[in-house]
Amino acid sequence: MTTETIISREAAVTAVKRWFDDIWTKKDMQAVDAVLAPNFDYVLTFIQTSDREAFKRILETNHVAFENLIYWPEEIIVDGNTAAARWRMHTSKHRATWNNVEATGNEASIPGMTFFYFANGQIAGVKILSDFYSLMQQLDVIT
Amino acid sequence: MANTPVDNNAIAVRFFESAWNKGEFHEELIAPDAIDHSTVGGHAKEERGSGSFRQIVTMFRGAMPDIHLSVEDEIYTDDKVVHRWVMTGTDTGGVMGMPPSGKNLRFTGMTIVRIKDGRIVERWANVDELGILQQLGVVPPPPGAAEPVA
Repeated sequence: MTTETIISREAAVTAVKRWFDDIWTKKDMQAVDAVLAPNFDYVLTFIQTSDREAFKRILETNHVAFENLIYWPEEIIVDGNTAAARWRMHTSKHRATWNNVEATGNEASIPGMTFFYFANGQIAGVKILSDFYSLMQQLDVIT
Repeated sequence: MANTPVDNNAIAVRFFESAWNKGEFHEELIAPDAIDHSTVGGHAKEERGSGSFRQIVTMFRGAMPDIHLSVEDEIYTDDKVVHRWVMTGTDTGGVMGMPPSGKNLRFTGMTIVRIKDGRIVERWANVDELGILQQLGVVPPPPGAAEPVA
């Protein structure tokens, strides 16, 4: 019989902050390896991977498409091996094709929420709700 | 006596499941000046009371009479409740200003509420509105897109 290890609240908050700051904003690949589990589940409404290396490619693609891409949490709520965050994303310029949308040069900012799952002290998975409707409006794809 | 986290979750579950699944609004579970920070139609708003919530529920229940909310993940603490949920239903009345498609729609969202003295006093929600429009064929899915997931 195995006992599940519960991450401390402090460690969970630190990991969530690193997700936004070190990983998404700074694109720090060492932080990716330290904070995320090897079989990290990344679930967006239209993309899902179960591979940390595949996630690194998604991260790279987003930083190529969006200049000065930054994310910051507005609230972090932790309970045992799960956490949730409200956050915002901002880019100064959509500079390359992203999801079939050619570069618009537009600035964009959207809110989102993420649900985090922890295992063995690392983030084992995330499920993300980004306001892509608003992003598509800001990139002039929909009105 | 302060509510426990379990009490807080029970309040949120009752409020949202009754509204979405039965069309019953438990006004006693939300403060009259509760702040709604939800994003609708790509625009952030900040409104007080339950009016904006009633409006969105009424719109979706009119368009999808069999709409059903299922909570898939939850976190509850001394003053906050988080639900990650899935909604399913048949579009017989036209969603988001579109004509009725007859399609079975499935979309995800997250809601966070702050609870004080047994009532919801603040609410944030994020709904996959783009996913709805993609399922309706109004917006093409991105390249290599998976089926909508939880």
